Amino acid sequence: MPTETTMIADIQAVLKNYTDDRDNLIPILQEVQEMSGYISEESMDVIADYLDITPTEIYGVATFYTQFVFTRPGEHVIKVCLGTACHVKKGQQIMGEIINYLGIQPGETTEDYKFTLAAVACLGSCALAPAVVIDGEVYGRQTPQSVKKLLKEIRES
Amino acid sequence: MSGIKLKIDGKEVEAQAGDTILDAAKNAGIDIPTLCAHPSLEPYGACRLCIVKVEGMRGYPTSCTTPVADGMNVNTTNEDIIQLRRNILKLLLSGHTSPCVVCLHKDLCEKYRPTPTKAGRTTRCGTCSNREDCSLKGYSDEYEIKDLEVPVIYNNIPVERDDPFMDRDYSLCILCGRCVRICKKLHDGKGAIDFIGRGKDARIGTVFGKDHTDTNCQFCGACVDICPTGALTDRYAKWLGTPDEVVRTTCMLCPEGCLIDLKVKNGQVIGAQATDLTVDARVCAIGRFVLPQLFENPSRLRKHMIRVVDGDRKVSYEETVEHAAEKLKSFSGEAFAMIAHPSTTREDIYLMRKFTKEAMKSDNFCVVKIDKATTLVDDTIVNGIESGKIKAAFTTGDYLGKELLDKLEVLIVADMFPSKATEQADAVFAAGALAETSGTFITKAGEAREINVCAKLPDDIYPDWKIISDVAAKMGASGVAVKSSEEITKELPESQVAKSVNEGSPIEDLALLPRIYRGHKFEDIVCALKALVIKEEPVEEETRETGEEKRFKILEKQELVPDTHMLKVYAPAVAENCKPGQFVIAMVNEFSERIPYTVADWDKDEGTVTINVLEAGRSSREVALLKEGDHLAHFAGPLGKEIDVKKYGTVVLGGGCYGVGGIYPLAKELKKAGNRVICVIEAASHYLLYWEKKLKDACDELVITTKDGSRDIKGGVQEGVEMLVGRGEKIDQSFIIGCTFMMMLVCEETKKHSIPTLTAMNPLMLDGTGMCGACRVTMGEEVKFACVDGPFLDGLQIDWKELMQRHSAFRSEEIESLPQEHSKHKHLCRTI
Ligand code: SF4
Ligand code: SF4
Ligand code: SF4
Ligand code: FES
Ligand code: FES
Repeated sequence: MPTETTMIADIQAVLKNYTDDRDNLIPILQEVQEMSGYISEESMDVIADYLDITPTEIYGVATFYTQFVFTRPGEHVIKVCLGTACHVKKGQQIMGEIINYLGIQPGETTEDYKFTLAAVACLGSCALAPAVVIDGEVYGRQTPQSVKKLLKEIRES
Repeated sequence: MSGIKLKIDGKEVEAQAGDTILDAAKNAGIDIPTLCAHPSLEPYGACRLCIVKVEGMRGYPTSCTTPVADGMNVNTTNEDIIQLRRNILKLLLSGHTSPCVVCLHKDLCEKYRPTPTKAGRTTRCGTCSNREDCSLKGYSDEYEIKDLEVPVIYNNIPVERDDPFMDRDYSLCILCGRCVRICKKLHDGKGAIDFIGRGKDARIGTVFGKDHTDTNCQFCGACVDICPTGALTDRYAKWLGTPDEVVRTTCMLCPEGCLIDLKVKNGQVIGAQATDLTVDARVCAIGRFVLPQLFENPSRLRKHMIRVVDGDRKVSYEETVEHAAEKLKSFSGEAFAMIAHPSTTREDIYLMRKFTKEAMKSDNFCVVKIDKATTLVDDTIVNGIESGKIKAAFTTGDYLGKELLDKLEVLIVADMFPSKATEQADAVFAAGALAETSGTFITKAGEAREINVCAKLPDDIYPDWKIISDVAAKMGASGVAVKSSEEITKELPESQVAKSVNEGSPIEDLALLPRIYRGHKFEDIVCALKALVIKEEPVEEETRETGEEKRFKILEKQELVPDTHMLKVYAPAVAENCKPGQFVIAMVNEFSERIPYTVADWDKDEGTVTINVLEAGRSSREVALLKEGDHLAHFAGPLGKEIDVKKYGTVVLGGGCYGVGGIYPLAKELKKAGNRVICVIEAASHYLLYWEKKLKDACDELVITTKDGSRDIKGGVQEGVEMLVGRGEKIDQSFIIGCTFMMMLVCEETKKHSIPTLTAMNPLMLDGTGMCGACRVTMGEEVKFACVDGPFLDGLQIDWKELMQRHSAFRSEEIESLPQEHSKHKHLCRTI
């Protein structure tokens, strides 16, 4: 993992490719996210300085688009579907089990940066409800037991 | 310039190119409702409340964004428009905390509960400090919204209470964007707040939800002043009601000398605001938030004092003048010095100088210089005192160090706040200043601005010029004495234009905020300022040692619904003797008020007692802020008479707010005694209902009522009773626990059907011992005391009208003891 200072340097390198026109905000954010996997508080400050706008404004713009994330993601990203079908099939129970097992809430990352947990609306896998997606792969018809086993395997791998 | 002619509602109207339809209508005296539009902001077009019909145009354009055109024919109020506006309002209300808007008992409620209840967060208009001044409520009344017909949602966003001066309760936000836009407009496009997220998650906030102290917020207060709802509030002013008048004056607290509008009620300053929401009219955080808190400040000097052989004595103004004159008499000439603060009117400074010269025959006069948070006195005066040449001084504040003070033989002080100088002085005048006096002030830019009297001084307290003038007169220097400050103005020489040095302004830089007035640091007077000017680490809370490990320990604490907190307290002796209907008295610490709480549950084996606390004032706020593991200083009980547990037949138990918990033990015991128990509970909206399952299991039937109709029966407990009677239920006895207003309404209903009704009069009690008399209740010819004879009294005999009137009289006093808290510095105090 790069240290904070090298990250700031990297962001400054990215900024070199853009003029300080406010319209460049979104492409800059996209590039930074691509590079570091997320947009940190520090990088937001650096970008704000460069474009002469406030970090709050950047945060406002960035949170408008769901593609941006603001915390360093874990190695494995777990998305639990809470869409209608999954909800009916007790998706919340699956979520509860994961929360218990990992000790984090949706939107959070474990301290060892191993897992990030997210709640999502319909993944388009309603036939497989309740569904969980781990690192892009769909795991359907989960039970609290099966999902726990799955996470255990990943953790130990 | 040739005008554009158009027709609005049949009226010929002239407008200028570039005007919007809204502008044209306003100029023609035609009202169009608006929420997101504001005269100080560019058109925005988000709320759509201002829609109109324009002949030849499709749909309903928003008048705040549509420019006028020649020959336009506009209709602002046809039936369709009204209907559309109603729908818009309903949608806004459904996501707002608005049960009161559609409540059946609204008119009576507003009559008998004239001031809002001070809740921690606002769950309805009844607990909203902005209710007298809310556009949303105003329009909803105007458009006669009676039912919401859409699901009611409570956003349940935690209130932001950690910043100084401002409370931000975004659960009330309607996303009109006014705050975001004004912040950008006033701060060069650099807003401290913005829209965060989108769709149904969109809200107003800062980067990563940080405190405003960690952003570029300048604490100008513009967002608070422009918010059309109660979402953003000024923590000091919020419960003080609406001002009777707004008086323009000049803030003298730093050389900028900004014009400022002070809000005044009953002769007291209750708030401040910039004179306009423009860049030029901005004021700094000190002017906006600190200045108004100086006048009614709890630490303020309110009594004149003279030093006598055996200590200090509080005396009349006259005596103080005499004493001061007597003391100064023998120090004429170079032995005397006078020291003043620059935040003083030109008139007062002139008079002080003249006093020094003519009454005291001395040249030793100085206006101190301020360097950040330090006060600098002229070297000549400091040297004079050190060398013993100067033996007597008259100062308007705390300017001299202890050593210098000790050297003086005589010290006279006129000040607003106590200090080491007032402690040591021979005579202390409690002085009036700033917005309590009149005169002129020369700003940094060299402009002479008017200081106007905004606040009334208490009897026997006078402004500086009068004190100086009276002492002079007493000393026989009649040339110095004046009858009014205006008299001095006439005498003043042509204003000596001050040098305008441009070294930045506190309006743009928090680091330049004025820090000191008359030698007192602002943050010592208004302690919330600490969070802004001293970036100190939060103070660690002292742990309370009780000796007995578990005594009155809070074993469990939960916010059941917004503002209602459940506390399970370890108090075996209380639990052992608890009977249904009784109450306990709790105190958070030895300084807090004694507050009676109805017992909601108890467990003899565990030794615990459960109370449900409604956060509605300073004391209950203190309780609400406790955490699991904390200890109460005092928890006494059980008190009051228990109810008579026997077989009545069919019993109705009515509960509202904390009473929903209060009826629970009654339900259990009365059911055990063989009664058919029907519980009727009420809440303003569905999101305020709690303990449903618990109650359902304890009784035979649970009837739910909500004021906005978002669950089951629309209305309150009385509508529940009405329904029961209507379906043929024969009710043998009823017990009602809730606020006085609610019990009054229920009794009107039960009286109609001659249902025996016992009401729990706890809300009246102040100390629960019969000493204070606050809980006096008139019942027919008899007078009873709720805390001794009750809490349950015969509701059908109580003179409710008299009670409610007396109660609203109490209210204003209760408001005096404002709950003020800023968790960053972990303590409670009355200034914020
Ligand atoms: S107080 Fe002033 S600077 Fe701070 S958020 Fe409000 S408008 Fe912006
Ligand atoms: S906080 Fe007030 S001004 Fe800001 S968007 Fe919400 S309702 Fe409008
Ligand atoms: S800048 Fe602030 S303290 Fe100074 S005069 Fe203006 S409002 Fe008062
Ligand atoms: S006032 Fe015109 S859209 Fe809000
Ligand atoms: S009017 Fe507010 S609860 Fe009835």
